[in-house]
Amino acid sequence: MKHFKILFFLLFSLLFTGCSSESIADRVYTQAIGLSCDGTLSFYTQGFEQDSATEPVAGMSIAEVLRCEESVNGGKIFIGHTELLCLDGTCTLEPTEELLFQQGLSPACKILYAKPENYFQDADSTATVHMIRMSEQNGLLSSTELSTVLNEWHGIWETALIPTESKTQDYPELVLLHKDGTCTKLSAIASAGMYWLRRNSGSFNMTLEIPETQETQDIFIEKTKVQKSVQHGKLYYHVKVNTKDSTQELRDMLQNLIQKQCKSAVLEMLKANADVIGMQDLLENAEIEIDNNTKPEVEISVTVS
Amino acid sequence: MNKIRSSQLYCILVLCGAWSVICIPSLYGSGQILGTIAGCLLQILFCLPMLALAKQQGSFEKLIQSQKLLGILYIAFFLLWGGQSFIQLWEVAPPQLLPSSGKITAGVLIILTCFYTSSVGLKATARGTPFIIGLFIISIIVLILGAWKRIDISRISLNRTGFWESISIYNALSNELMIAWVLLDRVKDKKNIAINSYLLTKAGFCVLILFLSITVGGRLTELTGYPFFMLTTLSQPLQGQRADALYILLFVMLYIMHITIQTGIVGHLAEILFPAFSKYTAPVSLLFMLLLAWLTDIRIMQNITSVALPVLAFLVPLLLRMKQFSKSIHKEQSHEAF
Repeated sequence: MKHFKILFFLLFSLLFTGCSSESIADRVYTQAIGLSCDGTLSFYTQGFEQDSATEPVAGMSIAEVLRCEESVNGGKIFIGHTELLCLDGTCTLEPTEELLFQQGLSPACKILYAKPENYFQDADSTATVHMIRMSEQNGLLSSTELSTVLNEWHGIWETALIPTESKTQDYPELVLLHKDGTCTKLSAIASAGMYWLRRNSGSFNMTLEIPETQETQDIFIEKTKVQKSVQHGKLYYHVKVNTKDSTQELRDMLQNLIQKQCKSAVLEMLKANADVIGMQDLLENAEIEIDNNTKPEVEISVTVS
Repeated sequence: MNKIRSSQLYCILVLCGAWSVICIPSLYGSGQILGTIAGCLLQILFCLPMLALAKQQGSFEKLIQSQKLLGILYIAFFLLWGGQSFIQLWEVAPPQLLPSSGKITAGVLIILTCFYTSSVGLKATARGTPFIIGLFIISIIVLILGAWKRIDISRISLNRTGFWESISIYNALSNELMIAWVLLDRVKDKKNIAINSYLLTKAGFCVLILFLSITVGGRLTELTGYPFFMLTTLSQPLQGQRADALYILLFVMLYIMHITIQTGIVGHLAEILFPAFSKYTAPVSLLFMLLLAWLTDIRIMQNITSVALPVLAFLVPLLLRMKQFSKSIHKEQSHEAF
């Protein structure tokens, strides 16, 4: 009992880390931050309150812009709870890495490809973050976050998959953002294919359109899984989808649809000279030498059960 | 010093081993996991002579009483290891664990705590270790929970990259074997269980950290040193609450325990070698460690300790055991002759 009391005290002491001589009013918690590098580094912030976006500050480094931002906001900036990082491609790897490893940005922070000067003018970061999360949960958008984006930028093809606001649909689209700032927008069908080819979780209802009758029918996706392998230098991606209470006809339709979406995704990705589906890991594990000009052969197969 | 229980010895060794694991400097590849397992098996072999000797109570004490120079070498080893640990505190801690703005303040507070804990003695320290083990287990659970969603098994490859490096790093970071050799005399029973469980626990913890670093960190781990700290950055189980406070608590507790055990053992050895000066040896040894950290380069200390470890923790017990064995054979032969 005594042991538990002491252990309890030790764990209780964790609460003291929240204690500070600083007033809560002297701290600034950011919900969204934006980075843009046009000669100098511009830093945009938005707090958790509505209409709390501030004017951007400029500087030569992240540490400098944070110092400036603290003077503008009149409090110490804490970016550990930031949910959204807005990038326009002029700032990629180095500043984001510094934000993660030096400044405590969350690895689960969502990244949005947009011009910060436009986004922060009438930004509603709560709505944006919710839209990205719900789209991911409902199978409309492949899951992306800061740690995966950084990992992809560090790959041979130096390209990451990032969501961007869409003008044509209600949920975000996907872009392939190269480390050097160049960007390739994926088509709607390729974006949908990325969902199946990348790591994802969750179950959701998907609506299929039956061509003969022009009617729609819902199908419940219970689980999805991707099996990857390399044989004779060729990459094989096998997508397995488990559905619930579905007919054979619907399953066949879904299988064809996923096959089409995945093929488009791979085609557009290879055309953009990118890898966001873990091709590098697979080829390296098979001890196949690759460089950024390698165009691997990819074979897709789908099973819906 | 009074007796300590085998479970307390296990806790001491695991906590010191955990500090060594979090100080693993870099990640080379998936082969490092196999290298760790091979390193663990090698250490089980390394421990055989000391475990054979430990069956006779007081063998280590008798050895250093008869060979005082050897005893001084043991003290020097722990002082060098302590000095090394002080430099490690500065080098390994990332900004979120020891904030750069208050690094000196945090360092001074930790050293002051070490001064206090070193004066309480090894027995009290041994009694306190189960609490830190509790905290250690909770932190590991949180680490796993935070990392779980980001595990990508495809990042693990079946190649040998890092295999040999891992064996050498794992063995170089196993100075706790020296603690085992010194303290085995003070443990009543279940010595084998305590040592073997410690070796397996440390290897398990090391494999877990390497596995999570490779599968969660991916390419990011190759860029940053110290995989454990990279993992604490990526392993945040709750969206609204960061787990840094728990990692800070674990980091500081492990460090203080590590230094306290080293100073406690120096005090214990001094008590055997120079009973007249034994009263304040633990806090004085802490000053020596600080002095060594200030004056000596960490690489020199690391090289000395990694060479001294197999000699003092394996070769000395082995030679002693062989000597005892030849003596017993000689005795038997002379009995037969009579």
